[in-house]
Amino acid sequence: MTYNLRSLTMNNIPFTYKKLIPLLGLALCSNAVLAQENTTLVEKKIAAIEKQLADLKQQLKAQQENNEETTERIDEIEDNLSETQENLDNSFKISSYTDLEYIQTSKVGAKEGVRLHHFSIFLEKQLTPDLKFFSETEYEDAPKFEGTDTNDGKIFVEAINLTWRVNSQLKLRAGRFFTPSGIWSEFHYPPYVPTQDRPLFIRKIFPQVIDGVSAFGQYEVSNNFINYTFYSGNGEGNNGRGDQNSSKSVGLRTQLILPALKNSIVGLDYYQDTLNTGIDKQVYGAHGKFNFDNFTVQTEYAKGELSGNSAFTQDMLGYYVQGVYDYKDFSFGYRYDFYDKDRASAVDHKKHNYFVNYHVTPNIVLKAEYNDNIIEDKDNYQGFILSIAAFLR
Amino acid sequence: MRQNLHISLWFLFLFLAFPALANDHQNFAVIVNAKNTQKIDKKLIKNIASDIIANWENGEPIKLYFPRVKSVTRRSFTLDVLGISAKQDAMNWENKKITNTLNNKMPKYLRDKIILKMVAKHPNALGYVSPDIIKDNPNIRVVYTN
Repeated sequence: MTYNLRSLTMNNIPFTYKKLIPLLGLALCSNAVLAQENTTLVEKKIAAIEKQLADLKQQLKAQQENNEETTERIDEIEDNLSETQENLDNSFKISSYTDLEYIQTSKVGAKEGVRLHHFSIFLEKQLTPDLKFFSETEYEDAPKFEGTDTNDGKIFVEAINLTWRVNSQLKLRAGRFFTPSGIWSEFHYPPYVPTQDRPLFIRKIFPQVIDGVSAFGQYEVSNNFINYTFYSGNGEGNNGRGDQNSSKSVGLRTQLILPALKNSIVGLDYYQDTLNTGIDKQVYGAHGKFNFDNFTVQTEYAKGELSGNSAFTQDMLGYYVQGVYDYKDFSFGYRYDFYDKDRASAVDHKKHNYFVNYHVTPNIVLKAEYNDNIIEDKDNYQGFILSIAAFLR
Repeated sequence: MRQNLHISLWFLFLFLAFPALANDHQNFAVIVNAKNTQKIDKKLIKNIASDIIANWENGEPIKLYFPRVKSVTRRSFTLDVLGISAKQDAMNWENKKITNTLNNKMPKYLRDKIILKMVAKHPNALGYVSPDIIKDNPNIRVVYTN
């Protein structure tokens, strides 16, 4: 059955459908009511979401502010850290080095045993950005002084000085310092030299320390560097109290540093003094350190002349050549050493030194060394040293 | 007897003198503060890291920030730039420290991230780090990479 909608009136609508009309109206009304309720619900939900969104925005803003605050605090902490580090750099610093040896020797009268060789205390302070204090007090052979119960040993203020950096080319130093001659005189500390035994002529031709002043610096010349150290002091045979004669010692060391040859150096030395006995002393020296891939050759030469008023003359000569090969944490090497304290007399001393080092850390080393001493007109002897040396800082 | 010992020790020494340095390379980047406009090449870096040069061209002292001795970055840098091991490099600095012959102040040994922050903060700083951590930091200028 089909109906034409245009001709549809209440009269021609079938009864069954007529009954449906109120139901349809009811349905429409309830639908409208339901739609109204849904709209209210959605609006409520939207409002809730908007509120949540607003809350989230507020939280985000607070979070961003917190982040900015945290960043500021981190910056502040970093500033404080830098400042603390600067203060630490400028604070009074204490460090030390020590070494312990077990010695066997065939030298007449010497016995094998343990030697508590060195214990040094370093005190340092950067007083201003350009002014630094440095000192070293050495206790050798663990000395004991208690009334009359006194054993062998030595307490020696080896260095106490102030250094002023004038500019990048000039520094001035005043006080006591190791004689700036050659290499070993300054670079002699057991944690960083391959043998406990020092080369024979060191401290015997050039003096060990200078009480006085020095001026030192460095210039760049055609991709290389020339450094100089000019120094003057009381001279040999004096103590920290003063000079016993009016003449002052003077010295000069100059070195050429070759960056193209792994910072190898060659240098010349000169020293002059009038001793308290009136004897004049002049010393000439040369030194070099040649660095290859992991092989280093170090050598020093010194010739001293003593001359007095009454036709007294004495010539001294000393030199050594040392080769060190570094393999991983080990160093292996050999040194030939010569010293003649009086060229006119039969007192030549030659020494062969063989050594192995094991570098536990950059500041701790274990050493084994064997030396063979040949002394003119005297008994030769051999020595063996096992040692540990450490820089504590 | 003594002569034999001398000869044996000489042979041992010569035998050990031939192996070359171990090759253990990783990438590294040498960095300075972005405010530092000085031309910096490998030669200058080597002279600074060897403690030969201690001041920038403007006379300001250089602040050094290096990785720790056991760091791979440190090992790579010392082999590539200085031609020595990280331990030898550390020993050289310590030796100059104990003899009071340092030109620079002792380098600070830090972790890479802290080095980055320190170099970004201090206009006179120089350091080296793993290049992976640098990213686009406007306060840092990379002056050399291997």
